[in-house]
Amino acid sequence: MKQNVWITGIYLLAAVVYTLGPHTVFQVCEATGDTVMRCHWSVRAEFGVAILLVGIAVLYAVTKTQRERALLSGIAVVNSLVAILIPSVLIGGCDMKGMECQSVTFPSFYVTAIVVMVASVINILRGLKRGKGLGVI
Amino acid sequence: MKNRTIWWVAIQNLRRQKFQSVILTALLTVTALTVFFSASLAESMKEGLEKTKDRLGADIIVVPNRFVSSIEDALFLGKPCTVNFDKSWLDKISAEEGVEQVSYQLYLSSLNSDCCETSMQLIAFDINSDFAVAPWLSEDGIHSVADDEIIVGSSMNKKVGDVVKYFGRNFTVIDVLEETGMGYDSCAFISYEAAYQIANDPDYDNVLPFQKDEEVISMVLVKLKEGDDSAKVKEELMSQYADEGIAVYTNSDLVGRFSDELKNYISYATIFQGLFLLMAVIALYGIYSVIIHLRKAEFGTYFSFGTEKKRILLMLLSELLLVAVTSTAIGIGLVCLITIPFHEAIRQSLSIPYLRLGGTELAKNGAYAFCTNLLVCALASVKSYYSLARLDGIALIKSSGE
Repeated sequence: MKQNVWITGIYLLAAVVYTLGPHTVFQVCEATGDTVMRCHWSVRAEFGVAILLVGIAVLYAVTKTQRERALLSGIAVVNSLVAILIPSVLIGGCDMKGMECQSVTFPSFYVTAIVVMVASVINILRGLKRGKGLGVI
Repeated sequence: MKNRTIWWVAIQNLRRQKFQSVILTALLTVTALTVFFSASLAESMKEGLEKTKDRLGADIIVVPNRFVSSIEDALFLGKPCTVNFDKSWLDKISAEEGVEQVSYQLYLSSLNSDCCETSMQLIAFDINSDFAVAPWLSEDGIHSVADDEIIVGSSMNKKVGDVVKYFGRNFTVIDVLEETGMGYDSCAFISYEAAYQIANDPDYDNVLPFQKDEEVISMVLVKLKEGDDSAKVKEELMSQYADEGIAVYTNSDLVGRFSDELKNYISYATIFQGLFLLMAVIALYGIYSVIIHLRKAEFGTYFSFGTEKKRILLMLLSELLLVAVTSTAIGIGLVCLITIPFHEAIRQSLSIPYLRLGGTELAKNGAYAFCTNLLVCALASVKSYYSLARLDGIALIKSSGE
């Protein structure tokens, strides 16, 4: 139960960072003219990642078995990988490293994704240990 | 085998006394974090300063004195500016005794580029007479720059062959400069001809303060003959032309501002670190004394069963060493997790030219943080160990109830 609360909390918090971060604490570049910058699309795509993560968190909260928890954590790892790839490779952002998106917003995505990944991997390993392999339900 | 057993007991003890272990780890993590971060920052600033000195390329630079702060910000922090200076100064300065070669650059602050809503520093230079940037370019096999070609700094996410648009013109990237730690990282270099073409474009005639026919530069870079003293040449230039609105800077003058900032930072960091470590030693001493006191009955039982004092002290030392290693690793990990991705934001907010954590710096400062943690542990625990070693089993069990 305690484990469920921790992991669900981390996933939900990460979803909040992906969704609200670029508009509050980790502000993305502001477009003043007609130019729509690439970072704008990256932030939009991260919103999709956040929705998936909320889904994983909700499912995680109601799971009962170690196998399901491990599988959901595995999906969260892949989700985090996508969260990193969107701003770094798939869509990208502004050209200058000094721009807000490159210096603040994207790093906040990377750090959040790394935290989710580490928590998920630890969770999978703990699940394996407790359930003595995923064969135990 | 004996040591292995002690390590095993130490790990079991730490796992059993979770709350105490967490408190000790948290305290030492904050210590490691503080020491590691401030040491890394100082290291980075020093490295940035040295690189800047090396990369400046000129012994002296001459700029119009009303643009001094703009030029400094552009050179060190990459803040865009447009500077207007008469080209006739080239002849006057090159005639000065001790001057071997003069070169010039023209600083133009671009309008927003096609990708981002921000201005950018463009520097027009003459590759044939330049000795500041041209040597790096010749290393990459670049000996000429066409009107539609551009060389970009390392802060731009561009590669050779990419096309960038400034002042409505497309430029092809022909080289990306390696990171310098100075403003050049966020600048782009174009030919003088390209700059004049922009200036001649009717769309931008209100943006740039010169026309094609004007003989305009932004700064004169001076290389002195070997053995000549830059301070002496600066003095001579100033005595002759001080009233004509020029400012003369030697290489040392330019980095002086950051050198002073570095000195100030190092003194503040040392004072802060000293106070913080003192507080950590006092806090750890208090916590550790309480832990040892609470465990006196346990140690008394060990003694009563014939365990040597030496082994018990060794077990306690192993516990503390494990906590120190873990907390140092967590502290370093946290600093890296924040500093590496956010290094650009931290660099900007602290207004420092350079912030990078390389492998060598990480290892060096990590070892420093670990040694500091060990020293804190040693200072905080030595009295507890001493008082523990003086008592026998019965006395320990008796004193545990006090």
